[in-house]
Amino acid sequence: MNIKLEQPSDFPLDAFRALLQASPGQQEILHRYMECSDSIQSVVRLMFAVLENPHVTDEDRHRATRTIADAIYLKPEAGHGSYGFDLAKVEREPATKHPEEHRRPLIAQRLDQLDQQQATFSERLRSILEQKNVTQEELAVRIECTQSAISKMITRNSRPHKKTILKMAAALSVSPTELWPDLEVASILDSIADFPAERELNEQQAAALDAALARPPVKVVVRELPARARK
Amino acid sequence: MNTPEEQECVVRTCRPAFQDLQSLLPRYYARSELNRQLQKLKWWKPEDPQVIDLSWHRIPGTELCELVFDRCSEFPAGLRVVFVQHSPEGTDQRWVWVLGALDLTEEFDDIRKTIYVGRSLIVQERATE
Repeated sequence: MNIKLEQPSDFPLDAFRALLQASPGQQEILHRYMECSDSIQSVVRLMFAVLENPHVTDEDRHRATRTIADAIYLKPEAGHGSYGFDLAKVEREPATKHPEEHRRPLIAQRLDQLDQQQATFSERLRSILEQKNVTQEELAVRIECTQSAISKMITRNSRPHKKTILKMAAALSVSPTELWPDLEVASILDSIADFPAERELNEQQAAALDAALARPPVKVVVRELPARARK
Repeated sequence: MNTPEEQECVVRTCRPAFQDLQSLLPRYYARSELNRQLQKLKWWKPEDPQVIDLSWHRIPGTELCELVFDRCSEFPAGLRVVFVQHSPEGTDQRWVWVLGALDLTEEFDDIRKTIYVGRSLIVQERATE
């Protein structure tokens, strides 16, 4: 690029003024932006266009801002290679390295729970398949997935999705909790999760709600206690 | 040793994806479940319609893909996890990058395509072995 700086008007004075008025933090951002490659700079400009779009949602604003921050802050994550995070490490690290120490045992406990759930499922599925004389291939056909996927679940390499557990239970004529004992609690939580999305009560729910609203308020019996004598 | 068909992908995530997930799933309980599910991407193959037991789709007009999670107790609004395949030069293994996540109710409109294509461009430029 040829830059001509001969006349006073050749100098981008407005840009200089704007730069001098920027806070040290803003100057740092501009400095980092200028150090980025052309393609990364173009990503940053696209994200600014997103931020200025009048139809953008708050969540998308956050997404665009996170993308800008990622573009201009060249910060390799310690122990994760040159860029980004290793997904398997992301799961295990907080159990020993979470900045809030009191959370570490809770995270470790949750990871144990996940492992334990998978171990139980694996043992139970293996034993039910044996009892019912069903092969992995047959089960795969019944639930429309591959034998390789079933094998990975049995060897605890892959955690089944809840829908898959329900399909397997139906295919093997067993209760879902025989495969995944925690599922009962989860399905109750599911019904709660479904409620706000549907926004409509069925007849039974509506009747129960009506009955609850028609009930007279609970009377609270108040008994006056004798005043304590002042000393 | 794994045959080429069975060779596992390297699964990585970028920082903004990590932040998207923290915002969509504030409870560690749900994020840890999702993390386990996302590790299935190790076995993602472009020619298979499912990754283990999860369905995935290509996002039209882009190189991006999405993994779909129906509503359940851990993900009450359902979830679409956006990912892309990009292997750094000189590697034999396929690398899959998690770029972010959206609620199942959020459409993949032009604004969101711009954001996630932007993230994939950053990955393409910065990902090295």
